[in-house]
Amino acid sequence: MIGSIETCDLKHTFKLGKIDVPVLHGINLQVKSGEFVALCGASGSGKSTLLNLIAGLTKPTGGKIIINDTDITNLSENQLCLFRQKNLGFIFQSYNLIPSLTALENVELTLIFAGLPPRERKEKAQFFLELVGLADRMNHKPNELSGGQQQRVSVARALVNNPSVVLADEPTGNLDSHTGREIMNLMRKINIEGKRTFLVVTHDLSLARLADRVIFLRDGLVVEEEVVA
Amino acid sequence: MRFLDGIMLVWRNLLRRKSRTFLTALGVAIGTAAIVGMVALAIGLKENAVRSFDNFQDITVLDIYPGWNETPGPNSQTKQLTEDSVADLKRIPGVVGVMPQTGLYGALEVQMGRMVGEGMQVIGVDAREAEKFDFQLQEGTFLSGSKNEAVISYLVPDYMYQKQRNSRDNKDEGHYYRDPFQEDSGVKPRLDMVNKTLNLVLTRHTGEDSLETRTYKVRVKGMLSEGKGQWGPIIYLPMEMVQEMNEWLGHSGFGTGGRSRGRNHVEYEMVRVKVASRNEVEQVVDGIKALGYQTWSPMEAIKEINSFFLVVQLILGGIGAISLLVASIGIMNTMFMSILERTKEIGIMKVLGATIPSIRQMFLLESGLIGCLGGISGLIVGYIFASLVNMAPQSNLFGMPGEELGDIAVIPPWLVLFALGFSIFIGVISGLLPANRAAKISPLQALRQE
Repeated sequence: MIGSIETCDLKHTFKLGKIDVPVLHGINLQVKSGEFVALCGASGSGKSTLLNLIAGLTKPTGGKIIINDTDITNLSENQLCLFRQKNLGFIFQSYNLIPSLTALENVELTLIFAGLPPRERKEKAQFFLELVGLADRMNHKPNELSGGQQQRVSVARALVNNPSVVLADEPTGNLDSHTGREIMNLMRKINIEGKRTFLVVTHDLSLARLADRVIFLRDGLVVEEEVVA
Repeated sequence: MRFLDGIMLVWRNLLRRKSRTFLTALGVAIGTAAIVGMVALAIGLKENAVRSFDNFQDITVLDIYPGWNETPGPNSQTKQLTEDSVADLKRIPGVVGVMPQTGLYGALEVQMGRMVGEGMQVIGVDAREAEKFDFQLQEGTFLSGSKNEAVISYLVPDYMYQKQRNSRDNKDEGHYYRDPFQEDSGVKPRLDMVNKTLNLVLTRHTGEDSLETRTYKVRVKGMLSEGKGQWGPIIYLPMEMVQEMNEWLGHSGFGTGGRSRGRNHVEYEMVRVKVASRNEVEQVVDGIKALGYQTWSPMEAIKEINSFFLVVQLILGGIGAISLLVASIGIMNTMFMSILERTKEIGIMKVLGATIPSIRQMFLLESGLIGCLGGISGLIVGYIFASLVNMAPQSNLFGMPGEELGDIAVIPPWLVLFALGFSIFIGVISGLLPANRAAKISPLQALRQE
């Protein structure tokens, strides 16, 4: 189903020199279309690794990942790039905007890689920047924006290619709690209004409670699931 | 990714690192300028050398002489030039016109009113073919084909002098000789001979001490302009007239001393052939030699010049190519640097959905653009170099006296295209390795970099 994420017995092992370090020990996860799920856990619990695997940035050492009914575990690197382009949106902890481009251009960049004509992509980028409340900051470079504003640009960038799934890795990690809550609320709003699936990694429990469901990881295993009313 | 968007992104990246882009492109510019300048010099020198042949004579006109057998003996036959030969020559592909010529075997005095002239060359030509040879006329028209007409070369009036009564020994007093290599001082007005009637006086010995003269009246139809192949005072007359004169003088035909035996056995001293274009000259020369006649074309010398200057071009171009090679290493270095710097950016782009081909394309575009910028500036420098060289005082290295000298450095359009294309090519080639490295960057590791 479009917007769904499913992992079957997902395992991952890092190699540190000659020593194998197992990180994930068989994760079975199901995220329904349009759900807002928070992934919580202490550092080293494997939550970021799980997110990177779902994003196709690393290959798992075992198990399967199915997003939008596509098994991405066997896709080539280039196929993964195209898959991300069409289906996934990304929000990083450290925003990862390109410093030489303005807010508008950063948002447009995704559409440039998708090969959209200039006028169309400008309209779309403007629409999403207005949606995140940055109508008056479009032509500013990242270093002229506050952390919260930068993260808003990055939210707009994640949404502009109309992905069914948005993955966020500690999106509030670099922000103060007030701004963090604002960003979280913004994502929640887009999740509800735009009917997009969100999988958000966070270690801030109070923010995690804004999700539909919170999944706790410890030592590479799902230890608890909590449905937020 | 669209091509124009790629160019735009790459352009901004280059602007971000202005001095580095400039220095890298400078390397390409020096290489390109060296190639353009050196090759332009070689081309210009070659064109000058070829042009001096062109100025000396029209390359598309060949003079053909009778062929001779190299083993003399009772069976040896010379290959004579006859009416039949004219027909044969006309059949060679590339031949436009064939004009037989015969000289006069005797002395002739030209009289026009009180002016006389001696020492002129008389050539009988077939006027029917004349128009195909595009004779450049200063005045009047060429022979029309009717009888008793003449056309004079530009120098003829200068060989006319006023006859001194009773003292032929003093003729030099009135004769002013015009040095053809000197500019006309303009002090004395040139004698106008066009549309005037000349008396051509022939003299022959009839006995030990007795002379007989005969006078032909001809009307001067035109005067040729100065220039190619016009070295000396020449009077062109209809072929039949010269043949008649020769007969009267006791000659007929060339060498044999015999009488002409019917129309088809008239023998010519020389036949002049006009070739359609320079490119066909060689082929026509081969055809003529195959028929057994003698001919020579400056084309053969030009071929030698061409192959010599090709070597010069290769050597000079090679020097430029070496500097371009060094520049290409520079581009490679710059690209590796820039990828190292932008590893994180490349990672972000990959996460955002940039495909591997589009990442590769971006970096190839970047190195190609550096090459292109260098190529354009190199061309500009090359042009400046060429015009500086051409401004320098021109020496008469290859030239004939009085001849117009062309540019020493010549940049033909193909050189411009080649230089530009080659510098872009060098840029793209140097970008291949770095671009592949960029495409292979793992997004996860790139994102971890700070």
